[in-house]
Amino acid sequence: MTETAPASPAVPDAPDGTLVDSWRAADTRFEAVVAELARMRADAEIGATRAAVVNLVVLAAADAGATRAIDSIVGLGRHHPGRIIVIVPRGGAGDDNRMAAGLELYGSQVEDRSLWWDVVRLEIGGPVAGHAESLVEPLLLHDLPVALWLAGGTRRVDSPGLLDLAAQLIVSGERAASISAPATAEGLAGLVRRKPLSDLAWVATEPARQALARLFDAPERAELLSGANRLRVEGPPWSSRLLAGWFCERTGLAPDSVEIALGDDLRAEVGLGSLRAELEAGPVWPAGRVAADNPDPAGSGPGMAVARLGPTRVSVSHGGSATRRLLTAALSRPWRDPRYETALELAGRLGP
Amino acid sequence: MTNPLAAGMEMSRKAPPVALVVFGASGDLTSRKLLPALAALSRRRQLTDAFAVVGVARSDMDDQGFRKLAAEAVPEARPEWEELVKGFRYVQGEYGHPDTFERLHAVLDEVDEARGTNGNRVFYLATVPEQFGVVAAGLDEHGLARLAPGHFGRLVIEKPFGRDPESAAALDATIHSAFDEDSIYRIDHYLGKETVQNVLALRFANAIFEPVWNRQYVDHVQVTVAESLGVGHRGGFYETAGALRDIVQNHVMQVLGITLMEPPATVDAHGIRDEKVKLLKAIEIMDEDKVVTSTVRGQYDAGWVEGEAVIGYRQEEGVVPDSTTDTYVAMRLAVDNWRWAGVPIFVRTGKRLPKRVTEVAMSFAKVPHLPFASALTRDLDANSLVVRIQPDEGVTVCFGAKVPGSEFRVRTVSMDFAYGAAFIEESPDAYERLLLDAMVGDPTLFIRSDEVEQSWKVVAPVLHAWSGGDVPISRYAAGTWGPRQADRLIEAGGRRWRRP
Repeated sequence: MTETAPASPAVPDAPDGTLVDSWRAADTRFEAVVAELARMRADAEIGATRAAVVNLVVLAAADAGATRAIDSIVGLGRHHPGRIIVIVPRGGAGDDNRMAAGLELYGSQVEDRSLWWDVVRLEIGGPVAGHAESLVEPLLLHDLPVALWLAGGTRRVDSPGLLDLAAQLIVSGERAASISAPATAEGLAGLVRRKPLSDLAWVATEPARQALARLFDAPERAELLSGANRLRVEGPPWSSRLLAGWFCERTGLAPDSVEIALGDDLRAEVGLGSLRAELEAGPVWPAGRVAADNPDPAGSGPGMAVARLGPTRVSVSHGGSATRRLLTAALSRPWRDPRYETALELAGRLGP
Repeated sequence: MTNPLAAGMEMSRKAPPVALVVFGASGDLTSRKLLPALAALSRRRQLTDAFAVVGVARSDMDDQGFRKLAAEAVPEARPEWEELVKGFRYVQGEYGHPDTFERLHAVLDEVDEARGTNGNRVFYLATVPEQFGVVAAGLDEHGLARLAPGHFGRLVIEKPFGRDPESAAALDATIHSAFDEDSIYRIDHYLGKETVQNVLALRFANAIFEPVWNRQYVDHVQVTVAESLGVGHRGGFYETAGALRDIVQNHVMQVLGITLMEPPATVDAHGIRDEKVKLLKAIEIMDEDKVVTSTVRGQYDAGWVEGEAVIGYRQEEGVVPDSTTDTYVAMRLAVDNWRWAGVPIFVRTGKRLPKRVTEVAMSFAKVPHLPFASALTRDLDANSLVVRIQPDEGVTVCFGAKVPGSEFRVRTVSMDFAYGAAFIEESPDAYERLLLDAMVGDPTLFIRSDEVEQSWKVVAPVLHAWSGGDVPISRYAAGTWGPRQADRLIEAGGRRWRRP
């Protein structure tokens, strides 16, 4: 067993929180993890009282993408203080259980408030990898909801018992979308039937949905939506489908009028007869605008008519860096989202 | 004469001159709990030089052997413990043999002479319960129980106090023939825990809790005594006990007594124990129909606990393959008094549950009207106050708080107070506290005879109905929170078990 000495307590003022105490062991037992957690709580100069709102359990995979995603969650406790438990199942043959553990206690000063959260990382191998819930349950902060992020993918959950612990499931539809769209939709719908599901790909579409919606706030402009006759969405594969599915469900546009194209950022163009609504990607803001296909230079054509009904350009902030922002938003809404569920159903039926 | 130099000084409690006689001195309880507790008392300077331990057991050992055992039980002891151990004595013998007590008498006389223990004795029975009566009678017959005025002789015994009301009464009669009730100290180590005592402080030293500690504000109470361990090598014993006898009849009843009793007039042995008995008397005695609808008995099968695959109860050493012994109990109790009428008290205890935890949770009634849109409060639970007795002793309050932002969304926040992190002083172990109390002569945290009797009155009808097969045993996988029937028990009232 190799263990490092606890780090010295530090002043908690860094934006992502300051590492106050930590402990690692390459080969350890569960009792040692529990004892170290208790020690960290007792030793750290965090006062006797601590506020928490959530348990976030992350079921990861041992691949680089999952590792990057997990690394991004460290500062999450600033928004949702509580306990983050990361489970990384390790492959390998053998009947013996193996466990490496890491504990980190973070603190942060937000205005005049002190926030504290800890991160427990367990890398497990052997038969226990199929029963991670037996390790997670004793570590949960009591009475608080459990959000389970299937960061390693949705196709196979090694520890199905973890699903029973969760009050909310979080998935990344983009990671799941490497298989066919109908299969992705069916798989996610299966999870929706079990628990409230937050799909980070859906959360990612929210600024775009807001920007599109705001273009049609004026009642006269909203009437234009009934004439929508085509939609082209470009962006990450699953977000694009969800955005298109949502639009079709809201407007009644036929799925065969939708074109999906791959891209890095979400863009959309809605055909509205002689007009079109466009959604452009930006580094911070998705911007929407309504324009005429053939602007009338005399100022009396459909372009000007549209302009009189409200702003022709809107933009919506989508905040900071990707994964953490999406998780923060997902944890803030831990309930069923009927809009998502209908968008999901349509997303699976859209053409290639 | 009292020490004039000590007048006005704030001093910690100290044991008076006394010889502590431990029956079962070579056993597990002595090495694991009693000797480390004595070493801690010695470190805190709560034992005087006029103190000695005399071990009594059947194991073939002499004074040196017992001293070695005492030293090994506290491997990181300080010099004062090593010094103290040098005065320890040992008497080898059968508890039923008069010669054992004659030699014990002689050794105690020598200890009085050598250590100045002044003829005072505390007899700690760390033996199997079947020996309680034998030892008490032996002490009485050899003039060791009732001592001359100015000296004290006290008897300390641990649960189980009988296995039913009749055997408990018989045990009481035997012990009372040798010792007065005032000299009998029945240990429930839960009462020695700081957090159980902290319930008294929480309730009666704070103006904010007691006004809501009643049926007007409390929807229900949940008591959880969960163990992650199985029966291990105690399968033979456990087959004769079960969770109801092992935990509910004593620990749970005591915790309920402290938590739900009326405010005592004084926080002393009479004040607290009188109120506990009154509370126990108010617990509804179930008839057979009620036992069927209000209790669940379970037994664990194989499963996974804390990352380990574990076997089922029926595969444990010393357990018969078709055993129907309860390793899990869930109950809905009613307290028929002015304060708690109509408030269900849900109790669950079991072995091989997901974690080791003992908690009492007061779940408060929901507000009569939520003035927010339902979508904005949909993940809001009722307020609760949780007293964690072990491990991680502390108190948690769960309440609704507005989520920062333009929406008026309310979600549950837990504010957790960790007892160990609040005070620099190290909390004494339960045995440390209780051993000192027994030596000092403070029985406040010990169980009185009438408390034992009343606890059995609550539990006995359940045992009786169960023995008649009225409540079948339900299976649960090790590592889960018990059988599904227990969920149905609480869900019938629209409630659910907390996740401790």
